Amino acid sequence: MSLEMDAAALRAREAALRAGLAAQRARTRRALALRYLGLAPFVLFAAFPVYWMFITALKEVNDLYNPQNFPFWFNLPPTLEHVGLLLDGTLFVQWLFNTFEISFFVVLLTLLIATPAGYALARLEFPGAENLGIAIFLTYLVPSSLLFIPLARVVTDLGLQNSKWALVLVYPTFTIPFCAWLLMGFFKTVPREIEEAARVDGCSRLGAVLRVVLPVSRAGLMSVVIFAFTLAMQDFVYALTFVSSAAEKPVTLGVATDLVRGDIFFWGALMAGALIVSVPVAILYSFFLDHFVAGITGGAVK
Amino acid sequence: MRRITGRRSFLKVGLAALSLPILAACGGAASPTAAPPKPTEPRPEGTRPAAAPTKPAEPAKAAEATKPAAGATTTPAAAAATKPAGAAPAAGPVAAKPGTELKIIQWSHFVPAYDEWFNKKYVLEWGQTNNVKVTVDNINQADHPARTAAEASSKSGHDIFDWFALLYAHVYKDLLVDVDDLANPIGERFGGWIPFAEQIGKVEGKWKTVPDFLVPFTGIYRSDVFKKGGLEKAPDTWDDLINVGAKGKAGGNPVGVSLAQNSDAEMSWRSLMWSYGAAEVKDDGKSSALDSPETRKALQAAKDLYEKAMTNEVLSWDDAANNQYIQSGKGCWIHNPISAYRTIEGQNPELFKNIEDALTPAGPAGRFMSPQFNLIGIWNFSKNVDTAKAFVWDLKVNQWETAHAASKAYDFPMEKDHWKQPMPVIGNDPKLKALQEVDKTARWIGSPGPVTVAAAEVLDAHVITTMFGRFATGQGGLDEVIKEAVGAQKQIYQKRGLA
Repeated sequence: MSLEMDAAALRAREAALRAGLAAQRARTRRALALRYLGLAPFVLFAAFPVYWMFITALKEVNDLYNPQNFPFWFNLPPTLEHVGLLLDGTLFVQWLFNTFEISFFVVLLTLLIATPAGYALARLEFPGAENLGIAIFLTYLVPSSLLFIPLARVVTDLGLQNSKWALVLVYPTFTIPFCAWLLMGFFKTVPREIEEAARVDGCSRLGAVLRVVLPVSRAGLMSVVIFAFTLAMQDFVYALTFVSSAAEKPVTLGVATDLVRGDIFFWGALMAGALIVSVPVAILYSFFLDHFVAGITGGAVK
Repeated sequence: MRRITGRRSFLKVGLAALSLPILAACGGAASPTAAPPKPTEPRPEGTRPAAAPTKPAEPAKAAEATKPAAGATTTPAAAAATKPAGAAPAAGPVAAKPGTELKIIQWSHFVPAYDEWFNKKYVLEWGQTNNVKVTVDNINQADHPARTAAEASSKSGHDIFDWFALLYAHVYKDLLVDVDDLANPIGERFGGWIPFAEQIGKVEGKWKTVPDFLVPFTGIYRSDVFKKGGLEKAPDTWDDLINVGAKGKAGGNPVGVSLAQNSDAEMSWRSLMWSYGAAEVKDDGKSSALDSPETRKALQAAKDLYEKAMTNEVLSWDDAANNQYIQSGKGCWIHNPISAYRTIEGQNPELFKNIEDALTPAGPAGRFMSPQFNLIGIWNFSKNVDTAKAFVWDLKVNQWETAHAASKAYDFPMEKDHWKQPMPVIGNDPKLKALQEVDKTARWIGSPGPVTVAAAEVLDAHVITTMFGRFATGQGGLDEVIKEAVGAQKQIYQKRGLA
């Protein structure tokens, strides 16, 4: 009898446990669903331009312009015609290469200059360092639409007009101020003690920076790389005013020049170009997102 | 719980999701909505004259690209004006300097075949003949102001700048060489320049730019929609357009004239304004003429056109939107250069059957139209002015008909003899031959006064379109919008010392 009762109690307990677990799972699923439901509008908002680029790049012209058609899907079979036009009918691959080449050197220059500048502003404690940091940041706020006219003279005097190297020279004028300011904030979060410990162990200041400060500042440096790379990739005004030869153009200028003709826009090829450029960058961003967030917010708590 | 939302997983899922539409669509999967009837027949091979921009061509292809467009014909007038086959080209007043370099910048032509001919055939041949290295750079027309400002500021860049729809003879007169020695003999050779050319190219009695071509605004319309509305031909007057456009709108095919701040709108509303007898300034080019009964009538006509025949999408248009509007099969009439016509001809043969092109409608005071235009300027900081002049001479004197054909008649001449009928390309085209009269309707910005820097700034500031837009959409009464426009105009004229 007691055995039967024990078994019944065990079964009841097991059932209760199962019910509890099921309820727990249901709660977890509900919480997860709510979380995704909350995120969904933001994801839709962020992903819609990419989807629009994608679908426009593959649509037939007569599908694209017909207002009777459902705009978010293919009403006629998709076509690679626009991608073919972009790749075979323009110098897109050359422009892409130019863009990456320019961006690479801009990132390099930015790191070489902004890193010591940011460190100096954060650590050397010379009079007016704080105000100088703010002043450097303010130069970032001067719009390129004002700066391109005086910079045109500089570029000409240096014999760099109509060359992509003009952009390698000019882009750091807006990447360095922001990145120096960003790194200044980041370096302030690095404990002085570890740098001092390195110096006690025999490092010079430079040695301590290279061996201790920079390795722990990887997140900040990574955000500088991403930020400078993106800024260099998205410029239009300087590219337009300093470069005009087809073979020297970056992709932002080349696409707009060859695929916007008078009042005719080649939307399919334009969107294909935008997609091809933006997707790899978005993927790159996603891999380094944690570093980027840490780098951007690094100075916020100090 | 196992993490299912890792970044790599997300990317995998994202890429898989992106590939779904391609697979589905390529596999002929049904679309989520019932697809409407296919708007066009399959495009026949080789019917994209105005379509794709092309990469720099191989020499053989470049030569092919220079074949005249279908329908192009050589007329006696044109043949007399241009170099006969095998004859030596007409020598200009200035010779090119051998061994030098010439840099040219101009817009990316709406017709890619034009750039193909110009960049890869003509300048190469001219360069070889004259032992000059010629480079041509093309940029979008909207970017001309910024590029010009950079070159003017640094006093370096190109030798020749061919501007689109910018009154830069006046704005940059101090940085341009006088080209009387080019423009005067070119004009004499071809029966003189039309008055429009003199206004936009000359400053204080001197030619500062050589007029290259004009781009007339025309009425591109759907003949099938108009026939349904009871009009068997192009609308002759703005009133005709309002009446038939109202019927078109009721049937789902509205008229489309931009009321947003862009070049097409500026040209279109000026055209309407002039045809009602209104003007921006008086003959002296200084006193405002906007506050007049004629302006009120023009504004009322624009309001009628907007309310009866158009929809509010015209309020947010750019220069490409009206092209797309008629290209989509929705619009029944747009006011535009022939680019829209050529695009439909190339991309949508079914729709093209019902597409016609006609002169701008007339008003009580006549038929007037504000064209866009190209002006060739030679910078005074150019190190190669003589060679630049020799090139411009050859282009304008020996190549005009080839250039006109390569542009598929988008580029209309400004020399009087070139208007002798039948004109090349359009003279024998039944849908376009009415445009041979378009030179008679051309008026310039600031008309009836002279072109001035202030008039150019009023154009850039979109004073006229703003006035029309605010009244048409009921944001202001007649007196109010005119007062605002006069105020904005006077401010500009005072700044320029003209009021």
